[in-house]
Amino acid sequence: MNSRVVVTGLGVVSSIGIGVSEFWKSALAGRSGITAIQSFDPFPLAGYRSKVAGQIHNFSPEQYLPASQGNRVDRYAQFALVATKEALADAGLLMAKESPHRVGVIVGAGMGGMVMGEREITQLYQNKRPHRVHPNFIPTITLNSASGIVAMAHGAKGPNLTISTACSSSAHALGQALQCIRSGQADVVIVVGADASITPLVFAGFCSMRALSSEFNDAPERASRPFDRARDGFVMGEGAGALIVESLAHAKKRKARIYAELAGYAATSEAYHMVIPREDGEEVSTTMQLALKSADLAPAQVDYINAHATSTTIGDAVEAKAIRHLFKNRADKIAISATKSLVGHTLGAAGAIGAVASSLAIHTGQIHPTANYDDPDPACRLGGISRSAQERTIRAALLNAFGFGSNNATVVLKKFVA
Amino acid sequence: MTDPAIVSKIIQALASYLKRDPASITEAHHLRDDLGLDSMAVIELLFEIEERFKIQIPDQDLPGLSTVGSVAVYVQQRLVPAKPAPSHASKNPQKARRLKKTSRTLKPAPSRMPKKPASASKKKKR
Repeated sequence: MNSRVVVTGLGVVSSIGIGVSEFWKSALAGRSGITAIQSFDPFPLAGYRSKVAGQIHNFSPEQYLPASQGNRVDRYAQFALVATKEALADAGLLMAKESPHRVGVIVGAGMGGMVMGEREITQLYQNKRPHRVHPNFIPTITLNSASGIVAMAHGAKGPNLTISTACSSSAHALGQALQCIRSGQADVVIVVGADASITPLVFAGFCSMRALSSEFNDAPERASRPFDRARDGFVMGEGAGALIVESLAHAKKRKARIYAELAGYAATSEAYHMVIPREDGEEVSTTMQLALKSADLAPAQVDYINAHATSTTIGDAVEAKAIRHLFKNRADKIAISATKSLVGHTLGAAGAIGAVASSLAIHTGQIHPTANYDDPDPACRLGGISRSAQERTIRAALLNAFGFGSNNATVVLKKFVA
Repeated sequence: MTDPAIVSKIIQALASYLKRDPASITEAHHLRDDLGLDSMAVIELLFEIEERFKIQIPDQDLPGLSTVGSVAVYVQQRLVPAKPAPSHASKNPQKARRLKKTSRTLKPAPSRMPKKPASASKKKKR
């Protein structure tokens, strides 16, 4: 039988709050963190179809981190550090009391160090002075810089991994943490999802794909509207989520508070298309089914789904179809919320931020609203989606995350019962 | 009558993308059903068209661009030097108002697109 693994600490950096307390208060109120983009200096905003994003304003790393950490890494890693610091404190985990090689770090990140990346690339091509590329460019841009700096900041010497599967990155990070602990490689894993790539080139790239919402540029808070009839694309976000995940035995030994049990996980590929999901939803349905099987749970035990729900026309409909297919006549009874309706699509951080919301939902019995769910699209109508907060005793929850590259992940969290 | 030079340029772009003989592509060909372009491929094709003809194609005009011929007609209309065209007509006046606002920053588009149901939506992302 698999050893049991639990979630004991949470941290978050988001456009609706830095810190779990502010984040959760905003989430329950259905507050949107989407705002108008002020500039992509030196490029004119007119060159961007979409002009809204879930940016985190006024974030000063020095407010949260020592200069030795914050100044050495790019924005996404700064977010990772801040979220981790909160999660460790929340878990009451003192590294001085831990065997360092038994504490691992697994980060999920999609884009990584794009802020410095784009700046250095631009300067090189403009100035044509290769010898003036900053010596810290490579350490900053390497995609495992966040997992490196998190481990360094806390002396975590266990398995140190970065998983990059686009939008499903940190859902996979959670799943890999589960397997890492069950395999005996670690007692504790710091799981982080982080991305901060609302940058001139990356944002332009998503605009060129016509993937971003562009019909609500004058009403940013209304742009991210999963499952709604007027949705017209996703809204980019940035941020980080961190979860302290540990074996139940380890948690019991130090009398840790338990938010939820990390019960199962499925990782699949649709092997279909780099960006388009299979419209019949069968692969998504299969992924959810496999995740439940790995957790030894039946669909009948699921009370909440933290949906992937990015606010794209096809994606939301596919997910809804898959939910209906798997849960059949219970599909309308499961509470569903779309965290991306509040914070936008944080790419690599999405899975972790969704897992923070799911853990809090299981722990408190409160489910945050799906913002802008004003006019339900019949193609994705499910009874459990609501633009108000819901209260529910949750036995088991699914967290869905589907990434570019035809990549699907579902994580199962359940109420901890001793 | 669509300008043959425009049709030819569009067929060239398609032939290059699909790596096939331009002579095998006609105006009647449906981009998706006949030429096998998925929604992402259509977006890439239109990106090429925008580049070649120096126009910008707003999202709301995508649903009408289903055949090689309709793309050619659209491009020709956009190339006619004109006063800015009204924004894309919509049954939903609220949506039309929104569209009008957001299209301010893009080159004005004609509202003469055929009303076709958006069978394969332009948006398909995860």
